[in-house]
Amino acid sequence: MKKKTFRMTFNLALFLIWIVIFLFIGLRSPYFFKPAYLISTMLRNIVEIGMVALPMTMIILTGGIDLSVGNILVLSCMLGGMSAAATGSSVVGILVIALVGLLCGFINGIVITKAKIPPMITTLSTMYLYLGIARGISQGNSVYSFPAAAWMGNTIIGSYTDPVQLPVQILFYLVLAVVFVIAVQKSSFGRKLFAIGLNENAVRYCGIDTDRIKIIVYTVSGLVCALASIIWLGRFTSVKYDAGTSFNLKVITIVVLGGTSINGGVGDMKGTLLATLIIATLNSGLTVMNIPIDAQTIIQGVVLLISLIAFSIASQRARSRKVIKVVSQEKG
Amino acid sequence: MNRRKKASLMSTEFFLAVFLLVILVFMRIAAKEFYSKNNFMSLLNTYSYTLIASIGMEMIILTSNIDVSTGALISVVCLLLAAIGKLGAPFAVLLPVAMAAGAFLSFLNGLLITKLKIPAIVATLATTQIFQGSLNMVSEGSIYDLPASYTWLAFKAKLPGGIPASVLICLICTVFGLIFMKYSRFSRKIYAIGNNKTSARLTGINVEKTILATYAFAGVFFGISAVIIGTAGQRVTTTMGSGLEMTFIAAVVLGGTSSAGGSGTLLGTVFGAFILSMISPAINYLGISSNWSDAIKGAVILISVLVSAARNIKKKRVIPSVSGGGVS
Amino acid sequence: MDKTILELKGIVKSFPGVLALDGIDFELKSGEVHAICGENGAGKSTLMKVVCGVHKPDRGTMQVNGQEARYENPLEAYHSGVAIIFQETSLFEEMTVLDNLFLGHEIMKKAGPVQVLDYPAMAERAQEIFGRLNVRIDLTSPIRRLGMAQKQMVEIAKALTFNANIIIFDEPTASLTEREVKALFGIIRGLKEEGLGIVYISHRLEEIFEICDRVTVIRDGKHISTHPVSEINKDILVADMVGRKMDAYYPKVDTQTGEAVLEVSHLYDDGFLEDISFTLYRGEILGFAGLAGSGRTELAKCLCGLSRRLAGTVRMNGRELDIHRYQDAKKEGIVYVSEDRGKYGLITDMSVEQNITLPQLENFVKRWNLLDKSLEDRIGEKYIREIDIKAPDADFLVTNLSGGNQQKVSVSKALALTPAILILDEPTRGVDVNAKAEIMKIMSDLTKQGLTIIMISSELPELIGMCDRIYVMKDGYIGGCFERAEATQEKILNVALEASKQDRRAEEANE
Repeated sequence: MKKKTFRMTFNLALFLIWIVIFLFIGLRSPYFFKPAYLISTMLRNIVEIGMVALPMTMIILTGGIDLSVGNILVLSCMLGGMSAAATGSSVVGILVIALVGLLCGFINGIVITKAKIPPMITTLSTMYLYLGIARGISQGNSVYSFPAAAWMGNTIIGSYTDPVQLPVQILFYLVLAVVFVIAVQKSSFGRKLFAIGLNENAVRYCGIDTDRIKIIVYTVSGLVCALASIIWLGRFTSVKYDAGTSFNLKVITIVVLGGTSINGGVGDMKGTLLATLIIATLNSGLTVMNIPIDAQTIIQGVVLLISLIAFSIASQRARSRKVIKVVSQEKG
Repeated sequence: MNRRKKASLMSTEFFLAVFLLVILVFMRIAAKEFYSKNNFMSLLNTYSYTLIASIGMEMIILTSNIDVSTGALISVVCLLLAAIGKLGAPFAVLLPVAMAAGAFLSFLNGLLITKLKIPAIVATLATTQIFQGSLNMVSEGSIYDLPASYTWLAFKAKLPGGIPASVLICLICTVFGLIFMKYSRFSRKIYAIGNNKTSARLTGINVEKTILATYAFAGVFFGISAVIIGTAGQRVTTTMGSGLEMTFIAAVVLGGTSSAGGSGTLLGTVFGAFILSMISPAINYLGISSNWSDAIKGAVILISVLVSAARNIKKKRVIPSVSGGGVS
Repeated sequence: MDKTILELKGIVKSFPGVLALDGIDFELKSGEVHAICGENGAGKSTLMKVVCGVHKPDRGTMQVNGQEARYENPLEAYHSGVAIIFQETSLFEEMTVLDNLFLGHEIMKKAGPVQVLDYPAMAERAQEIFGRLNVRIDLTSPIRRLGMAQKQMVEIAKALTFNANIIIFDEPTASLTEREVKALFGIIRGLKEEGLGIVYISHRLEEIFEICDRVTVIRDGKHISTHPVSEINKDILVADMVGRKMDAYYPKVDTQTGEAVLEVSHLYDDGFLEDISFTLYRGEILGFAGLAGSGRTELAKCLCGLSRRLAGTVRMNGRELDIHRYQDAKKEGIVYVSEDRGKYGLITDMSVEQNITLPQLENFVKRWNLLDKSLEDRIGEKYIREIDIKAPDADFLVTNLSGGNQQKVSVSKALALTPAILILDEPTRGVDVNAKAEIMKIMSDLTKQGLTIIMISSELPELIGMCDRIYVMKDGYIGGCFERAEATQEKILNVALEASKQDRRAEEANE
């Protein structure tokens, strides 16, 4: 019960932070407050990262990490785009993208669970591998969008006369976000994720196949990367092999900022959503305020650091409080 | 006794040395131009900065930590060097400045990890962004038209036979590193911490202080590496070191150092770094597009990690468990 | 000779909820081997950890070689001459023997302006020490390649590199073969002749009579007696160890035991268990006694598919079972409650009900696998009521419960699976006296309802008080079986300690 209230206040804090940032930027450059800008620029720019942050939250909850997400995204883009160009069929493109994402994630999961290689090392090496394959196959050239991807990346629901136009990818993101929030917070699968992060041995001693769950999580991550890659390809119309660099850092930043402990077991999907919103606001807001793009990187890093420090202090305090409580209980 | 001898022959370093030899011989047969002076000298230069930084990374990984900010850190140091190099500072000034700057920045990482107890991977992820971002803020993308005093190391300083002077720096660093990792008391602490933090603490080792010192020390190596990278041309961009951290980590892991820390030797890293530095030029001369080099690097790392995992599994089965579970 | 080199007075040490040491006095003379014995959990190891600085005493004084002493960590203790050789060695697995011997007090030499490690000097010193011990170990081999006995030799040698004159052995023979024990005793005798004082912690009585000069018995953290070994016999020692607290609060009711439920024959796991055969009858509590490391937990794990079965058959109600994973055992109704609550039992940062439902979440969901909180609440509250878990509500975090109540959550979690056979591994470990009695009562009630229980315990009174039959294990095989009526602590201890001939033969075959 206590834990729940703490989590609520953390999310509340995130929400307040967002409000402050939002108002601060908006008051300085009123252009920012326009719904059209907010939705079709601010949100649209964060969709891919936000999407991948959803399964990343799951992975980090189990105590793992996936550094290869950005490169899975680019590799599936590449192969999908190339096969669509070769066959002239969007369907083939989409299928290949999905398949590549699925396979990449599955490989991560298998290596981590069956060869028992730490997630960080596994995904570090597959990151290299996927990046390298993308580069090798594309020979360093750009790969171009195909109709289905273009639709995913550029379609806007609603006409110019409507007050709000909704890019279609935001719709996809929202659906996905709802599914992930429910899956993590409300489903039995989500409960097992938390449990694995807190004490994997004990979960195994409950007769739960933890390897299977972890493989599923990494595979889902690959699949969501694939979905994000379709949107990505459509939005940018062309993608080069190195486009995914630092994508992983951005995603992990969001997850950690959202209050998920990097050690696993503690976290909240809704926190990830709020963190996505904060990062989106920061990115676009700083652009609006004519602050150079590089400042965003620093600010993101600083934000990540502050949230990590705050979290580590909070958890240390919580721990000492717990000890005091136990001791006083024993005495009483 | 017999088994023990076998085991030492089966060591990772031995495997890597054989692997390296096979590639070198193969290149001799398949692509003689690989041994052309130009190519080999440039390979040695790449190897030099890769290995120097990998020595630092090796120390960090041995304590069961990691540093993914090294690339960005090197970029920062490179730009700093360019800034003072533009004023005509000679190499004798650049080198100590780079060492100090590297140590300072890496020390910051260490502080976050030891004092604030942030896991190394996230702490250094965060500093990556801060380093890279602030770099782009202070400079307009690059510093160029640097004077000849700045590029002295790359163009003027040659050893007999046209061997780049960076090789000499690398040699000094490596010999120093090998001796340090074998003969210093500090190195024993690094290994002990990587093996078992709790036991190390019980043995009276100040774990936090040691890790902090390790980061600072590793930073010195990163700084030296940055000198070679940064002074290679008359133009220094803000992304000189981007992505290099992965190569360094890979060199260490490929060299047989356990990612969990506590086991592995610098000698392995010496071979690992060479293999990784060789992949790009080698496949280039084999007529394969250089675009495949990253994929091959990735595959080499993944396979080496898998092989070492498989060897560990086998080991456990061969030796019968003497202790009977030992639950108490 | 005969100078007092270690003296403890009134040592008190408590951990949250447990008074581990309650005013212990102890004295060690030079040239003496002084045994400390007592049952599991009596406080032997804690006492020695206090001596060498792993734990800090709450009260009491310690004199080492005539001086007041208090250590921050074992290295400090080593430096002033007190060395401890732990049950589980504290060596660094990936480092070499030589590195381990001198870690923290390396021999240095000057090489120009700097100090470097002087390997030749260290190797020479190490050789000299190993020579003294009359053992040969490759100094460059990493620790992980050594066997248990060799590791112990390294620990002893490490103690000698400090010139320690007090060496504490904590259950040194727990995982040694007979031959290795003989060698170890030879070394201990040699050290004794050199005038060192040895503290020897063990509950193997034979060893105490073989090697020790005096013996101190502690029980429940209190000093009970100190005798010269020559003046006492085993019976006196056992009586001191167990006290006279038999039959105190065991609510065991005689139940009608029915037909055979589980028949295990010639079971081997992948390394330790040897030819285990036993039968379990419906409604009984079957006890497994034995020393720590005698294979009881391994047997439980093997039955449940948590470790691999190499040979042998397991029949349940006459049908042969094919269990590969714990999931299979769960399906058959065999449920295991681990001895290590913190590591394998509970997820302490989750609530009572979340722990109870975790093994069977599929039964607590609505459509789309969404958890049904009201179902979870109901089962959580049911067990809080029935098992009498002292928690304000089912959403209470397990970590905030006392040890006894945590154990009740563990048991509830198993019971919620409605098992046919419940395996309880050390169900009363780390649990206070009242909770112990409550857990015993729960077990008794359950068997009345027809549940069959296998109970593993190191506390003999508890086994004798609760079980219909007791198997005694030693070194991976079953050494004997007692009916409730004929079982006594002395008889069981005898079987658990005694190295049978069959055992020795097996060991020699191994080498």
